[in-house]
Amino acid sequence: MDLTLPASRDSIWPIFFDVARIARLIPGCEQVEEKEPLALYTAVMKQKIGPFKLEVPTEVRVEDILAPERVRSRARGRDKFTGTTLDVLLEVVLAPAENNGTRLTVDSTLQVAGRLAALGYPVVKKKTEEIFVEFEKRLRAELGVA
Amino acid sequence: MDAARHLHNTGEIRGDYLEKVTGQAQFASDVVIPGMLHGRVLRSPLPHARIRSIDVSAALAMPGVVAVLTGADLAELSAGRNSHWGLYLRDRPLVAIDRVRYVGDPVAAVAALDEFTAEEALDAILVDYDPLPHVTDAREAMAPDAPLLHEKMDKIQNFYFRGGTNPVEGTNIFQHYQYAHGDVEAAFSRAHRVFEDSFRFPMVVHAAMEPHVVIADWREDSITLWSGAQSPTTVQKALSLLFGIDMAKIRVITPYVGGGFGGKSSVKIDPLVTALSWKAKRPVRVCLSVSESMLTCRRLSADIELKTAVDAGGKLLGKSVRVVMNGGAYADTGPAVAVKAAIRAIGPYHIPNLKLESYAVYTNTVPGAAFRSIGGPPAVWATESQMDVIADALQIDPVDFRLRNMLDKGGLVKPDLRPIDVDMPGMLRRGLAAMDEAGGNSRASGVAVAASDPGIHALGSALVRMKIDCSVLILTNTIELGQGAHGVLRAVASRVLGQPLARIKVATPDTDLAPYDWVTGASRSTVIMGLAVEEACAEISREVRQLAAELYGGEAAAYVLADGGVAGPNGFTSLLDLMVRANGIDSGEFVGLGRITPRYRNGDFSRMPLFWETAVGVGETEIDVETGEVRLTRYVSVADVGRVMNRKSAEGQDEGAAIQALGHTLYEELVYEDGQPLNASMIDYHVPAIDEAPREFHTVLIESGDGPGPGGARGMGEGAILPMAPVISNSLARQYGVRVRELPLTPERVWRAIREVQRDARRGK
Repeated sequence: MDLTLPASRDSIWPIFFDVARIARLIPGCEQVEEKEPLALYTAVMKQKIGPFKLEVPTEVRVEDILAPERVRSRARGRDKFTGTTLDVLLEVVLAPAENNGTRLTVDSTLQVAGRLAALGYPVVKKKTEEIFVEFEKRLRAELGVA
Repeated sequence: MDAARHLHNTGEIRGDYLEKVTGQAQFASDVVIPGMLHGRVLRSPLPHARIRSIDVSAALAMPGVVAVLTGADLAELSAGRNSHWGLYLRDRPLVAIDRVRYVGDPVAAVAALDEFTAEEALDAILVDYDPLPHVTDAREAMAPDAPLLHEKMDKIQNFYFRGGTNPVEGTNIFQHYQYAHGDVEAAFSRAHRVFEDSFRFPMVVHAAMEPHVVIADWREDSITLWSGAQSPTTVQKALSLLFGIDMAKIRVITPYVGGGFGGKSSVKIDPLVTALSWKAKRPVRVCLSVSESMLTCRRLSADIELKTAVDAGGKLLGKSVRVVMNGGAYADTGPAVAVKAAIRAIGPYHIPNLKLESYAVYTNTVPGAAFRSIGGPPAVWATESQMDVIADALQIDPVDFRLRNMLDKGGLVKPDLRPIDVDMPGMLRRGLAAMDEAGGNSRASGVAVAASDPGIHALGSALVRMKIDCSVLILTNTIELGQGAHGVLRAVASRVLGQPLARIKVATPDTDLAPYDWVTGASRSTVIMGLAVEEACAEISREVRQLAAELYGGEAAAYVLADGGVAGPNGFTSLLDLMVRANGIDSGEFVGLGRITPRYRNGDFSRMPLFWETAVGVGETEIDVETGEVRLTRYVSVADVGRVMNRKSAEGQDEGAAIQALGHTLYEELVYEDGQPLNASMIDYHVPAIDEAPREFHTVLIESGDGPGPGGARGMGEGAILPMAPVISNSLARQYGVRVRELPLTPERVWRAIREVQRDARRGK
């Protein structure tokens, strides 16, 4: 994901660590809890992919952080019903852009194991892309920008 | 019909055709053994990971599940022996132990009463993975900070191919090959022009109609396999080393195989299925799906860099070849492929200064393996494309440029190899003439030539038994996978023993019964097994004629074998009568053994290559400039095969190889993203269908009669896969000015290249 937002870094950065706000922005993300500030969070990811409904209790560990520029975190979880495990590495970078704006890039690597993987990677990848599109829409709404 | 054709029964309708079209032919996948279980394989969904734990309890509790094999079983199974196997490097465990290295790596195997239950049980196995960094690109895998796939290089010498590999410890490079003659740098510095070009060749899969299949039956101290393996004897040897059972107690039976193309050569799933049978204490059948076969092996992809120096007269002065091959997660036969890719990039040309370098590199992808002309298609694609690039720049006709540099018969491609044994310039001219005769225009066609050195080991034996009724049974471990080898062997026996083809049978290959053969591959069966059968039959012929001379008088040389018996100075005697007279009863048989070794013909068979497999392609294409879609419309394929043993089979081999090449040229590529194969299914991966074959295909088979095989035959079946990609690419360049350096030539790539040419034209470049 690579987008430029007409908002400052300082206004965007806190959103990522405000559990209530971030939960609203990520589709299917529920019960977000801060276990250790800027270090450890938990959440439940609920998604429907193909014929599967997933409910993945997820632990998000912040691996590297430099406010308000970048944060790297790893999310891991397992859905009991389908035996699906998710492992997502997210790298978020906020860079100043023209007109007081911010360039937000999110690099993600996703590994899926278990029954969900049987659907084939393209299906999983497409779902991830849909989640990012929806996230961008909600983020813009949250910031009140087009 | 000329005498030579009659002699070799070239018009025979092969015995297996009727069996196959009526569904009577038995393939390994048709075999049913009493008490047989069905196995399925759980595969890694991750490109690279540690296995933290595997919980098989739920799977084992399922009704119908008999056994689950995991890495935890190997300590007991291997009992002090190495549980890893390989062809050059012992790098592959029987089943994953603590780590997976590609999406598709076998993690566990289930044996159940039926296939459905086995499949269901896979879902019940819980594997906890700890993902590791992965790398799927060969160049990235060569970087110093790349994730390492194997911590040590456990080398094996002389196991399947002669010699060993040259890995670089502490890296992912499992083969580094180098060769030089002359002074290539000096040639570059004094050249009129130096051309540097890079080409890419994709990962492609074998796509045999029958996927990999094995039935293994492990008993107290013996193993029986029904396998679709191309090298039953190598399977036998590998299993003996892995499981500590004498080779003589390991029996490999190979019914008809539904295509191999190298994807079933050496050893593939046989050790895993055998281990599952050990665990289940029952015979187990594992028949992979086509998608699983696509995750079992593939052709090594390649980046090829060529630097070529020419003088002002269009003579090649020097050439350097650098090939980087993506070898996948396990080395398999990749080290040999990398060597051949470098050598096969030389072409049938005189190159006084030459430098070759190639690498094969581990990546987190499906293991690379032998595939019809190992290393050949990437090498020839690069070299023959560049020949046209150079000709174009020097404003020399590309055919003329080739002929100025082409070796005559007897010329040296590389000093340590046998001189080229075919008339390449003559072959090229025949191809051009055939295109014109067919109504095409050879001067506007794409043209490419190829010379490859088959990596044949001259080791193979055959037993022939002639019964009292003159029916003949051939015992061989050369397998029949659609190429027609058994038909050729029958034709050889028919000719030497003077019996009609209808009386000659080739037994199902069985290592308990038939003598050793190295592999069915590398275009070797007609020559090696053909000669072995010829020798065995000659031994029988000598014995029969000698006996007839003793019993009926005269010299043995005065007798000839004829339909049903032997004819001599005093007329015809049936073999039955001969046997009764000799032995007192109407029983017995004649047995002949034919053995081919490197010492054959005073050691001449130790010299590599045994013969040159050469090819010429001439083709015309059409292009839809709006969509970039390319069609091959007319194609001429030429090969000097020495002697045609069966015309239908020979033409089928030639056409099949060329159309298979149409796949990697226009359509096929196994695509990876984030370590995952995106199109490992026959829905998403397109192999050429009949409506994509050219409207006209002309095979020209030259019979020079000077090959090393029976009747002067050479091997064939691989050569025609070589010229196709550069023929099409060169045709596009000649007709449309478009030069794409990456295969496959997809509509998108071609369309973009067309747009670029049009943009350049508008800008007046």
